[in-house]
Amino acid sequence: MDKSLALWPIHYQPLPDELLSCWLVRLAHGHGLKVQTFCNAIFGNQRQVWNRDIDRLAPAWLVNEVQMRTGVTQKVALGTTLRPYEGLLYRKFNPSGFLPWLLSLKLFHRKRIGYGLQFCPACLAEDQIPYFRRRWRVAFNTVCTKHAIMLHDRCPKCQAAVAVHRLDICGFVVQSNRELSVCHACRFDLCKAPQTSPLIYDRKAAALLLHASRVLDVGATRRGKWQLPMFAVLHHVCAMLTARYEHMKLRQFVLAQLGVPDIFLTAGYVSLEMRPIEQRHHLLQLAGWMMVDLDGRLTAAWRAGTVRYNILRKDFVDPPDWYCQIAGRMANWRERHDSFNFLKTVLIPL
Amino acid sequence: MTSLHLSPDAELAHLNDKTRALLAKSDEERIYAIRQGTWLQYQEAQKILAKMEDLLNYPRITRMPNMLLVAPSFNGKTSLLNRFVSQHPPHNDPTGEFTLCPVVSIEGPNKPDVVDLYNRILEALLTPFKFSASVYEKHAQIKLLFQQMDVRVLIVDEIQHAITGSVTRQQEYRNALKSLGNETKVCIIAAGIEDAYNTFNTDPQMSSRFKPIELPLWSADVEFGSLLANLELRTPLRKASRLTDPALMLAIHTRSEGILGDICDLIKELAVDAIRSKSEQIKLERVDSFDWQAPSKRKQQKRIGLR
Repeated sequence: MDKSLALWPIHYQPLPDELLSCWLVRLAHGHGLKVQTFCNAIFGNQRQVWNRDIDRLAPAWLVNEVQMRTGVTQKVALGTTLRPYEGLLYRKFNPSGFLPWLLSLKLFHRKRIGYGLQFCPACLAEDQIPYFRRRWRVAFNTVCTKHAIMLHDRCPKCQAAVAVHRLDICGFVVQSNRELSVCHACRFDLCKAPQTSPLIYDRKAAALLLHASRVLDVGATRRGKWQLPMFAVLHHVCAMLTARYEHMKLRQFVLAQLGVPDIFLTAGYVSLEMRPIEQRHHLLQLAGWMMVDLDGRLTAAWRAGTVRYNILRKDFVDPPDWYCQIAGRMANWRERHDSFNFLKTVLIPL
Repeated sequence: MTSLHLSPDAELAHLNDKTRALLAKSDEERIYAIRQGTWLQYQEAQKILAKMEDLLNYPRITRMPNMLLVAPSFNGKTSLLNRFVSQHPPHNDPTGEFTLCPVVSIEGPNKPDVVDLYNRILEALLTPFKFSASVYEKHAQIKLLFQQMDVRVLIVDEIQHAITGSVTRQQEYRNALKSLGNETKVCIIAAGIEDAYNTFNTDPQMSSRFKPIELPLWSADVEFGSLLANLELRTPLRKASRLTDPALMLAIHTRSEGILGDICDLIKELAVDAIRSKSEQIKLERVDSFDWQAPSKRKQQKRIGLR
C-alpha cells in the first residue's frame, strides 16, 4: 500500500524534543477537532488516551498509529516519549509506580493533580509554535539550559498544573497554535510568567548540574560522566538529604557547610519527583555540592556523624562500583572517631 | 483480377498504437478493454476543462466565481468532473506537514441536508471527524481544513437533489453552500441535469453566483464525426468500420439519440458483438438490427409476457 495514502490530511512533524502529548494536541487542533474528539475518532472509545501518562507509557497502539499517519519514522515517534531515557535516567521501564527522575503527573481521571510538566516562559515566548519539551518532565531540570532562568511547574496566576490537553474543554475553541502556551484553567499566557534567575549556592555545584541538564538537550552527543550510574548516585544523594531517620542530619551538614538556610520541605515520604520545583532546586543544589567531591564530602559527613553507612546503601539497587568503594570505606563505624585532626583538615577548606 | 494487398500497417491504420497492441490479446481481453473505456477528448470538454482551470487559478477575492454545469443525464458531465479531479490529485508529501488538495469532489446529498453535505466533504478530505458533531463544528472544521490544505475548488455533483426537500430545507442548503464559498474563498462547481437550474433560479443571490454552462446533446455534425473517428481509433477491431461514413453516423446518432454516454455504450457493444461474431467490423446493417433500446424508449413500460 502506498504509505502516503495513510497519512492524515494534517500530519505535523514533531518539533525538536517535543512531548508526545503536546504533539497529539497540535495534531488534533490542526484537524479542527478537540483532543478528546480526535482521539475517539482514531482509537475509539475503548482506548483512552488522556487519563494516563502517555508520554511515559508510550503505548504501542498509539505511537504506531501516530507514526503511520504522520509519516515519521518509528525512532522519531518514540523519541517524543520518555522511553528513550531508559538506560540513561532509569534502569528499566516500569509501566506503573515510580521511575527515577520522571516527574509524576498524578492523574485523576483526565486532570493533573501533580506538577509533572515544567516549562520555560522564555522558550515558549521565542517559539513560533509554543510547545512543551520532553526534558521538562525531568526532575533535575529546574533551570533552563538556554536562558539560565528558573523553570515553572505551574501557572503563576492560578497555580494549576500544566495540562495542554485540557485547553479546549468548556467550549473554548483553539484558534491558533500560539494558544498552546495558555493556562487551561485561567487562560493566563504562560509566556508571560516571571523570568527569575536561579538561586545558586555553589558555582561548582551549579556547573555540575548544568552539565547534567545539557545531556538532555537536543543534539547533545557528549554525556561525559553523566551516564546511568552517575544519575543513580545523584538520585540517591537527593534521597538521603530528605531521609526521615532521626540520626540522619546530612542535609543540615551540607547547609552548614554552604552557609545557606533550609527551606520548607513537604513533610512525609515524598520522593523528589513529587516535590514542587523550589524544593527540588534547593535539594539538587545541596546534592550537587556533594557530587562535586563525593568521596571527600561524604566521608566528612560520615565522620561528622550526619550519615550512617547503612543509609549509603539502603534501597540503592545495583549501585556503581566506584560508589560502593566510597561507601565501603565507611563500613566500620569505629573509624569514624579516628581523629579530630582529620575533621579539621577536611571541614575547614570546605 | 488481382487483389490489392495492403501492408500490415496500412490494414491497421484505423487504430492508434496503443489499440494495435491490444489486437495481440485474446478476445475476452479485448472485450474487457473495450468496456473499460478511456477518456475522450472532444472540443466542448476541452473548453469546459479550460474554464475549470481558470477557476482553479483564480485569486482569492471577496466574491469567488462559481460554475453550474448542466447536461442531460448520461451526457458525460461526471466523466468531465472526474477528468478534472484526476488532473489535480492531492499532493501527499510524508516529509511535509499538510496534504495539499486543490480540488475536492463530492456527490451532493440525496436531499437538501446540510449535515450530510458537510459529512461528505469531510469524508472526501479523509480526515477524522465526529459524526454527531454540530453543524457549526463541522463547518468550522471544514473551514480550517480548506485553508490548511489549500483547497481551491469544491465540486458538487448531482446538485439537482437539492430540490427534493421542503422549501425551508432548500434555502438552508443554498445558504450553506453560499456561506461555504464566501468564508473559505473556494470556487464551487455544481453539476447536474436540467433540474439543476431550479436549484438556484429561485434564489437571485445564488443564480448570480453560479454561471451556467451547458453540455448539450450531440448533433450529427462534423464534431460528431470527429468523436466517432476518435472512438474507432480506440476500438481494437481488426477491420476498419469507417464510422464516419454518413449512413453509419446517422444510424448511430439515431439509435443513441445524441447522448454521449449512449453513443459510447452503443459503439462498445457493437464492437463486442463484432468480436464475438468474428466479423471484426461494425456494419450498418448490424447497427440497425442490434438489440439496443434507445434512451427515450427505456422510460416506456411494457407488461412482461406480451409480445
